[in-house]
Amino acid sequence: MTTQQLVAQPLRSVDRGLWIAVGRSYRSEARKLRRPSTVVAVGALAALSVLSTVLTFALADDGPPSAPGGSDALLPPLPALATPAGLILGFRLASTFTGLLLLLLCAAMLATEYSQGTIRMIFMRQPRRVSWLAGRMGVLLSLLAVALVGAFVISAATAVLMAQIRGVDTGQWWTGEALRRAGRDYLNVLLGTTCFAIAGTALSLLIRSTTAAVLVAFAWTGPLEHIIENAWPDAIKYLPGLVFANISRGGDSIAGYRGPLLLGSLYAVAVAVAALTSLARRDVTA
Amino acid sequence: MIAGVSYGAERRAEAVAGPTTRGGARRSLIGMNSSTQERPGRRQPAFPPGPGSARAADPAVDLAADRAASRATQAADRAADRPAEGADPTAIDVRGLSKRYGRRTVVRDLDLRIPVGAVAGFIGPNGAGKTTTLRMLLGLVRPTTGQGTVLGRPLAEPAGYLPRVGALIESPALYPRLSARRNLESLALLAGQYHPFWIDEVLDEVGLRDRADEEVRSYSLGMKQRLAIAAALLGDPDLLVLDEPTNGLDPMGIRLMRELIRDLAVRDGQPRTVVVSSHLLAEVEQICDWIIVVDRGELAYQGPPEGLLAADAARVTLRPEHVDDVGMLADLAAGLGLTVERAGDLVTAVLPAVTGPGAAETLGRPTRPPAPGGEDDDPQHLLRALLADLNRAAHAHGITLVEIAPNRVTLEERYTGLVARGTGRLMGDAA
Repeated sequence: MTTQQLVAQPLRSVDRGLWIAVGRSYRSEARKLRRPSTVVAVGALAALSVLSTVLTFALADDGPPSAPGGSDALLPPLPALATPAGLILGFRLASTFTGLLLLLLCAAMLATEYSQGTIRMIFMRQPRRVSWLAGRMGVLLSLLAVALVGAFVISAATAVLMAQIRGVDTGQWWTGEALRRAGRDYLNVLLGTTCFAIAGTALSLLIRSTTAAVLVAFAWTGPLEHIIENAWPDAIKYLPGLVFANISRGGDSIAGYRGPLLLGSLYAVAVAVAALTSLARRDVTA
Repeated sequence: MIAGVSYGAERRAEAVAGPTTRGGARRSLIGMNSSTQERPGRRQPAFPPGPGSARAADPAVDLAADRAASRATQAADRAADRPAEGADPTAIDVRGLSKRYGRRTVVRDLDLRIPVGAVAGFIGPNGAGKTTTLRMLLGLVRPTTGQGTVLGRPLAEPAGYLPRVGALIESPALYPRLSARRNLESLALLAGQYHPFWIDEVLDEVGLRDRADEEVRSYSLGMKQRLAIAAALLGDPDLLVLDEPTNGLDPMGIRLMRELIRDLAVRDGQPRTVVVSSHLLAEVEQICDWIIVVDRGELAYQGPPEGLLAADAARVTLRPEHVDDVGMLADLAAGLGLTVERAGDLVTAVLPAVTGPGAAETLGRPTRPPAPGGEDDDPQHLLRALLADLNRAAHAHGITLVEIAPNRVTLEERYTGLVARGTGRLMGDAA
């Protein structure tokens, strides 16, 4: 675009609608992502997938493929890796950790806007707070989608490499069914991690403290939910962190898939409504 | 009464830029680009660039025309967003503004009226409610009660006026891991005011263009403060709200900031209102032509500084050439309606409070029919006239004065007395 064209652009200084505000927020937040920490975060996501894939292949034993393509087993047996699900099994198994990582990141990032005081600069520039958040989440989810594609590809490449090392037959990996399954798994991971991202963002908006938000997110999805799950196995059907993780994994034999998907969506909508209400109504004193 | 008063625009213009700037060539924020420096009337940036400024490396392409076109587009847009001509000439007009947190009232029933084009000093002790008030005006804090307008738009709808407002509230809040340029770009994009020229302009304005691509975490506090002010200048706002803008600045930085604030108010010949919250009363006294004093959440005074300073009695010291004339001099002063004190060879005359309409009558001066806002009601003018009367009377009686020294109270003294008294509103409230 030439300078003249730039100049000719209508530069309205007053918003004309919520969608315009969302668009502005999207562009603004996207501009902020051009920094090393973004590369580090995306790299961490890819590294997690690679690590998961390497461990999946390296630690697989020779047991029977009891649940081909299933996700109940933490480390599936070697024959299961030769099924159509084997290509991105490592990627899928990493999704729980990806979700938790995203939960903590989102809880920290937005709360930091409050602790740094940058939130007031933002709201003085864009008083339509809900629109601003929509744009911000749009950028975050766009980045997540792209980062997950990258992690997906790297994980698949690693799986091919590891299959050669472990002597896994990859004949079923490139069938139509395998590719459809891969696409479905990608969408499940994206959906599950999106739920984690919404929960983390909501937590930070409600708590407004970086340390407290991260601690609560970590304590709840880390020790607390798993302690409850150990005492009550059906907790996997109801507790939000476990439900989101279940969506990412594409369901399991205990909770199935549709139940967690429905409940997870309800959880996500509920926390989003609470967060948006807080965002729109609470004073900014940071 | 503030309606119709042209607050200090001429005075500021003369003090800062000289008469040629009034209604003359636009005094752009740019001022730094080689191509634009050739324009007559362009101002230099308030903060000088450091060594190695990127100005010298600017491309040879003359972007001045583009910038002018860009500005014209922006001006047209802004004009469309402004209320119609002839509307209320107040930049801020709010009434009954209150904020309660639980049972604690932070701001109580505040009525604020700041004329368009004023440089308003917002002063008060810590905890007086200054920042909360500014936050309410900026849509960050929801008022418990109160209504009014900011730049002609309802206070309850900040989205209507905030695009025309630039603000710095408390400490500079910036992303430490982003460069200065990236910080500004993200803010400009957020408001729909992004243009690469404008980023460079505001960076030039605060003298940070040569370090614009460094991460903000490497900046000193003063540089961060300047960058935050650059952020406030984005979009060429009609109303600038600066909360403690000199925090973290060294003496030279404070002086330059003062010049910048003065200049902002007169730039382009278009009315721009600046609200400055500060604890540096000397600074406020030098740059502001409108003062708002709040104490414990309540309005203590608002109006021109002269009204605040003249509301208390001022003292004038008179010293005759011959000690023998002290008695006659005292009688002459008393005859003019002044309270007189004698001490040695000095006569101290205490002037009555003079401010606002009718002040001339207060001083017992024969006046022409007063024009609202005219010099007959100007306390400074009245005081000068009274001093001339004293001098004339002494001369007429053969007394030669070797000293006639008005000991006016300073803003700091007046403010200290006002806040210490805690009595709330002044009699001389000009609003």
